[in-house]
Amino acid sequence: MKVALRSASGLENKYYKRKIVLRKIIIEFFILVIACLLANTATAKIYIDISSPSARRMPIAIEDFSGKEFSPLASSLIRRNLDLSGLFNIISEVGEKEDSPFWLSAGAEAFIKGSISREKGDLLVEVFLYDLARNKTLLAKRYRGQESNIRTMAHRFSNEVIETLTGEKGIFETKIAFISKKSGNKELYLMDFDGHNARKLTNNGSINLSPKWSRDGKKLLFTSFKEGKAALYIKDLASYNEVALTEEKHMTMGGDWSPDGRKVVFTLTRRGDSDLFLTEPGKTTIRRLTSGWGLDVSPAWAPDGNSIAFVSDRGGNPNIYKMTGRGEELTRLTFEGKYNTSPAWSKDSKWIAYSSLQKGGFRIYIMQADGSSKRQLTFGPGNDEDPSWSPDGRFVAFTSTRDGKKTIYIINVGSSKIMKLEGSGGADMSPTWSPFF
Amino acid sequence: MSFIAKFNNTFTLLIITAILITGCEGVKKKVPDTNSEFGQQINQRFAEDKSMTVDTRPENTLSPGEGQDIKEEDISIIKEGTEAQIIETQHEVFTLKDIHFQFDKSDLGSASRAYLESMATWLDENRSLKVNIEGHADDRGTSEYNLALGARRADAVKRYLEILGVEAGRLSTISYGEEMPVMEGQNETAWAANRRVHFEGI
Repeated sequence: MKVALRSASGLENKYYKRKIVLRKIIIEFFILVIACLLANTATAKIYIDISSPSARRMPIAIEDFSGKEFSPLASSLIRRNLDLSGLFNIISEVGEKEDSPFWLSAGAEAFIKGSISREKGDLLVEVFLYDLARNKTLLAKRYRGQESNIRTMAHRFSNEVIETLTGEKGIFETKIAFISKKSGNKELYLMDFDGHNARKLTNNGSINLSPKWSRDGKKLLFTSFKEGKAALYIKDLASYNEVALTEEKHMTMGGDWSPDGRKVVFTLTRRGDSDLFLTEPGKTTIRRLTSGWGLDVSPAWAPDGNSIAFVSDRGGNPNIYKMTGRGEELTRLTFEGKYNTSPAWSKDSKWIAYSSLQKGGFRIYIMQADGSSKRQLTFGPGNDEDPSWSPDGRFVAFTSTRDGKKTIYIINVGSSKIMKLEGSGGADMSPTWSPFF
Repeated sequence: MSFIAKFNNTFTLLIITAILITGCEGVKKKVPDTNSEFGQQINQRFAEDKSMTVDTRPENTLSPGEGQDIKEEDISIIKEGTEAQIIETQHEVFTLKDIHFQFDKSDLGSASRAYLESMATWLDENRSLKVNIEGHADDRGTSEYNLALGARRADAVKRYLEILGVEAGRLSTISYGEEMPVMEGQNETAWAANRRVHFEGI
């Protein structure tokens, strides 16, 4: 740093010199700070930037696992899961087992291999995730469990891969509760996110509808005619106990939990008029949120707690509205089409998925929380209804009659890839996607 | 028109109406003579049916011991040669039909209203009867909205019957939404059949 020094006297000289040194130190300090910051971002490498809209898929090779039993199932499940996430380009062929240099030359950036063996009746699953570019093992896991848990083990490893490479949790161990007519009448069921392991949760022989997971994943709110007319119940998933939500003699139905789980918003119908009310499970008092002649149903409470979206025909036909958790600042969100219904909030409270009646039938759309940026997600055929978001905000589960009878599908919102869920094998509908457990 | 004149008109009207009513009542209460062939046929017909006791004695004759226990039955007399049509009025046969609605509507059309008027009359004559009013909807749209719509339809019917004089306590409502269709199918015929209010006598 060149500074013209005009030494008038010895003292001034000293002063100027100090100033220069100080300036130098300050500048060097800042350079050091910036260098440190750059260095930090370099070491915490973001493998996959999922926030980037046109995210490139990471090429990954997944070998067939070695070992006799369950190996094809385990490797194919991991392949299916990672492919479904929309973040990867699976470049291996089924049956291939090669070494690192091969995969590297084939363009893979990472590679997964594993083996399954038996140890005293249990299965022992060892899986590895390698970073081929930096020749580094990112994950080395050993799972031990019964045969019946092989899918869980594969799902758990898939979650670990997602978390390691993106920093976010994977959805492969989440569940979907739903309604099925498999046994002849509508009962409450549960299944894995991919449609496997469907099991019955209610057996009251009545009409059961509209399940909604609690935020902690421990309870299900649902509507049932089991005591004669439609009423709301909470089912505890540990004890399987069912408790009525209110003591109301009038019809109650629908409903959603507040984000802190302490309140439930629901529809109460008196003298033909359906309005939204609030209650706390365990307490008998209810508080009115909406009024007026319109039918107000299907409330959905935004995860950030600030808004409740709901369906009302107060404008003449069913449309989606939103209001605060106290019933204030009522705003209409949908204006096009004859029937807009079933609002569902994404986990970041930024998007609302809903079902809208179009020429060919109901279709799933998403819109921003203020009603703007509408985008059609599904295109039928048949009717696409009852959207429910996955907890990572990447998927929407929905009911569709595209293959004839009602079945649940999941769609990756980013890639638009759709997967059919086997479920109960009967007519399945009204999916509600669990939170992360 | 002066008040007196108006009152006169009303009074006259009332008198005429009273005469007509009593006159009609008189005609209604005529019963055939036991000894007539027709009377004997009737007695034979109802010999086995213990729920119906047909008293074919001439009007106003009471046997000793009889009082309030007489069950009075009206018999509609048909000319000889034609089929006898017996109507039991203690529980007069009234057909409970479904009322139908337009898509997403709970309005009562004129035919529905006329039917409800006849139902109100029947309920007025059979005061121990109660009716459960079920509201239904076709399966388009959500279960929840359809439950609300069914409730609105059931309530619309209940309110109209109340306007017609039926006591609210005799009418109950329930909504089944789209959950209990009478006809399966994704077509206008099935949908129209399912958009209904159904009555059950209690």
